[in-house]
Amino acid sequence: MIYKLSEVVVFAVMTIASVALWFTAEALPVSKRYAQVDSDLWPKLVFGALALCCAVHLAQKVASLRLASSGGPTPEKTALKSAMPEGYYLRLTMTASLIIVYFFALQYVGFLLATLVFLWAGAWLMPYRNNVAKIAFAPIFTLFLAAFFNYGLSLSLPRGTGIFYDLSQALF
Amino acid sequence: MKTLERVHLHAAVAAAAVAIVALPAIAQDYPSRTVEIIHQYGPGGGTDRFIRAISAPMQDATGESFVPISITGGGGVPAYVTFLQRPANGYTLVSISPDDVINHALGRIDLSTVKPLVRIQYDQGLLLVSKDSDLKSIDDVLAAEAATPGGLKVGVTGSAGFDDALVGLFNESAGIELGTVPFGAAEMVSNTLGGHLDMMYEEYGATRGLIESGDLIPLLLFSDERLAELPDVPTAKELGYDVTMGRWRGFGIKPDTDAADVETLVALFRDAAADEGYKKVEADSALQYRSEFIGPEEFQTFLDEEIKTYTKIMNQLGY
Amino acid sequence: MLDSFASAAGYMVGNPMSFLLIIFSVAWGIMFGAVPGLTGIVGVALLIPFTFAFDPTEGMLLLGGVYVGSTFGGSISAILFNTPGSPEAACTSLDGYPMAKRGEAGKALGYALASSAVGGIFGTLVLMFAAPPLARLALQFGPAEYFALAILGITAIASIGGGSLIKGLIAGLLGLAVALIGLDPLTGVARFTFGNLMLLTGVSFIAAIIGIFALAEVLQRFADGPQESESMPQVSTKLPSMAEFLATKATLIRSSVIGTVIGALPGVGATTAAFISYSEAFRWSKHPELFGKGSPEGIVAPESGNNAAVGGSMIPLLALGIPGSATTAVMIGGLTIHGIVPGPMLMQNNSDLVYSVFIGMLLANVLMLIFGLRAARLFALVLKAPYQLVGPAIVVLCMTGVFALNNNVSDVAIMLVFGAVGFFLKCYGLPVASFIIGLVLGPIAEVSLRQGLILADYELMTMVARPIAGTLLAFAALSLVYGLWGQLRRPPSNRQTTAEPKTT
Repeated sequence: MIYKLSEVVVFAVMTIASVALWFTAEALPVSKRYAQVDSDLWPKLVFGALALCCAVHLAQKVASLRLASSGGPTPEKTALKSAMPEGYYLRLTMTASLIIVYFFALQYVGFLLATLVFLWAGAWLMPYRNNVAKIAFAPIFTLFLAAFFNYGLSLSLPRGTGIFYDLSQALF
Repeated sequence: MKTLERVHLHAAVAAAAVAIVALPAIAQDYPSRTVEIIHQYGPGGGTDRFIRAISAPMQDATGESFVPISITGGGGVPAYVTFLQRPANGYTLVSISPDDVINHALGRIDLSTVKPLVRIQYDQGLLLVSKDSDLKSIDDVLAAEAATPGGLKVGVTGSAGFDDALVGLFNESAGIELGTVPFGAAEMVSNTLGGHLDMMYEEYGATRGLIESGDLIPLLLFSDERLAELPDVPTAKELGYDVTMGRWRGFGIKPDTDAADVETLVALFRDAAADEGYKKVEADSALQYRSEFIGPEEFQTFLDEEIKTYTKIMNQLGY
Repeated sequence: MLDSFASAAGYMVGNPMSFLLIIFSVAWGIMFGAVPGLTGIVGVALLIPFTFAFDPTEGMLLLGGVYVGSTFGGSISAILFNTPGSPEAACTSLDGYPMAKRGEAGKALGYALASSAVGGIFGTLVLMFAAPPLARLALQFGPAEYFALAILGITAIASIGGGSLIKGLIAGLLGLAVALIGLDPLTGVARFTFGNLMLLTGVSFIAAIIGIFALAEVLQRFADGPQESESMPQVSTKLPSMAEFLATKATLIRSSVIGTVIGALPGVGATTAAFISYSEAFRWSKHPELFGKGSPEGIVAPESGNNAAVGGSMIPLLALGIPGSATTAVMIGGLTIHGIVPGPMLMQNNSDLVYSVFIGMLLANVLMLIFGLRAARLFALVLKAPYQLVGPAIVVLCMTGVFALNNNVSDVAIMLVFGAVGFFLKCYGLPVASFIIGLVLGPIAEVSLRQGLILADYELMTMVARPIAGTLLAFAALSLVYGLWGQLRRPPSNRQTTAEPKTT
């Protein structure tokens, strides 16, 4: 039921967003030379069609929601919802936030440190019995990758800022 | 495997300690690692090739590489923004060309945030047609335009960039209305050869193979004098249209870079521009006629002049 | 022609070094293709300085080998980790990964490899024997024809996801919408960048697909938890049998032809070739319902298409001196540095070089097949590693690869955003295939429509009433009608069934 409601909300938002973006295209600066094939020509086609499709889909969803609430037959989607494993959203949030923290860490503390910690943290997200592998894998993979990019391909990796920049620079 | 790992770590920590102590010494032996040169054109294009050619003698001299970093699209703004995000440590340069001056004139970027270093190449462009075209000379072009103004379409590369400005200026001075259609460099050539476009604007170096095979016929040269390679192609100037602008290529660096490093770089570029191997690459593209090496002060003066010129042109063209 | 061929073959035999170079360059190329973010373009560009040490022929062999290898390499990571290593492999993920997830990784890699080699050899043979006529055909393609070609591909979005028509359309239109971001290539106006200067370049395609495929998959599997992630224990390294492979021959031939022709068009390369091959394979398939669920045809089509495009994109390079793709543009740079002027005279003035490159590319494909089939079984074993360790490692590889590509943090940010987009698409049953087709073909359709209209003095009819463009558009319209009719005819209960692929 929550899933079906969220579907309605998502497609409603998309319909509104497409209409809004259609008007953003309308407001684009006009070019004198290419007036007949201006910047807004294609965006208007795309967003117009998108708004139309989202609206149609939204109507379908609302109709099926009303059918469901009136005790009608429930289609296959509810089965999908109940199959969702326990702790799904917790793990999803943790994985997503870990990746985002890693993204910022890359920029501030550089590749080596950030990657090492990220790999260690990532390995503990899911139960896995082999603790030795968990601990050993992160440094091996980090150093291998750093060596591969830096010496094998001579491409630079994020070095971080401030003291981390100097440290990284000394290492590779 | 595990002990090996530990050895690596020890070595790394030791190296880190040494390097932190030795930090102040780094400035003296500049450059001590790869120098990156950011540019806004595709890999394999004129500027990319220029950077590779000029950096070959510099690599021989220093033992460090000078590599082009191509950040294409967005009219060159993303390339410039990337340059601005780099630290002022002398290891990031940016290529400067008329496209950047136009971006400055249009307010897309601010060229006062870069210190001009050296200008090396000065190119000249051509109006070219396919060998199957009905247009056999620039007179045919003028006649066709007189009959139906705006009927002819010229392929250019980039949107609201240098090519566009040059064709616009030629239109103004010849009193015609050639329409410009932006294309990618390769599609522009294939569309001209296939007869979809009436003409195209391009430099000599990129089209030399097709000119020599007779597939593309140059009609007009935008320069002060005719090229020795193309003695029969008239210049716009001799026909009475004062359009001689060419694409030039130079480099810039962050303004607060160490002065000693800047001096080292300028000297390196000066030697490289005089190198035999580089001279040959230059001559292959008929670039030797107008190219002249100029250092930071002269380049700054030149750049200020260009900014005035292009601001005026872009205003005239209604941007 | 035979003379030049013999003399080039003589050169190759007299230079055992050149064989070593080919082996090295194919391996190098496969590596660049397989590491997410790094592409064949980077692989070729990094090798150019090294070609100074060799003569031009050896240099070109090196670059050609990298090009061949990198086009296949992307499919390894695409199949094993749902991480397209390079843009042209994005399409291979769509069916390769589901097949690997079923435990048939060896089979998926085998299909990819064999079809890559067949496509690659086909493209090279066409390049050898029909370059000038095909180059002339390519010149017939103006903006109108490019537009028609893009529309032909885009019409597949409605049906390709296997789900409902409206969801396919929404996903495809979303892809088209995302492709709008950036500087308008014609007028130079910033569109939908919301003040972000780095977005002026537009959404980096490679960053977007890595986010949509790889990140979304890692998120999904970590969220699903341990019981799901251990469901891939029986990894079979069995390769497809000859009979199984030959069962896809129609797709193989069609995709190779499509790939070669599209490759020969300047400005559109292997990625477009892969997607158009894929949507055509879907359109003509006897089992379209298996697409996206591990259909062999869904692997064979893009892989033979993108590898045939390698040979195809060398056609305008060698016949006209203009690049057919971004990678060949870098190769032109390499040639010029050696003092060779690319152009129509190249085949006459440097016939030894040209024919050596032909032989080299054929050899590269054969070598790739021989070594690859052995390596494929090894690669498939990677899937036995625990996902708890592999998942984070994939994230690290994607981030470093995408960063190293342009040294650009904003590309990495785009990748993260598209990880969320990919997750969102999955959640609401919007087909990823349609989204990506929109993303790839949108810019081509838009720019060529507008260029075409300018050239046709704003008369839409003048523009589309050209022989090639008209035929392609009529074909697109017909197939759209046919597809719609098929969708409506099928009873609604059948529409959602997940048909199990049959293993013959």
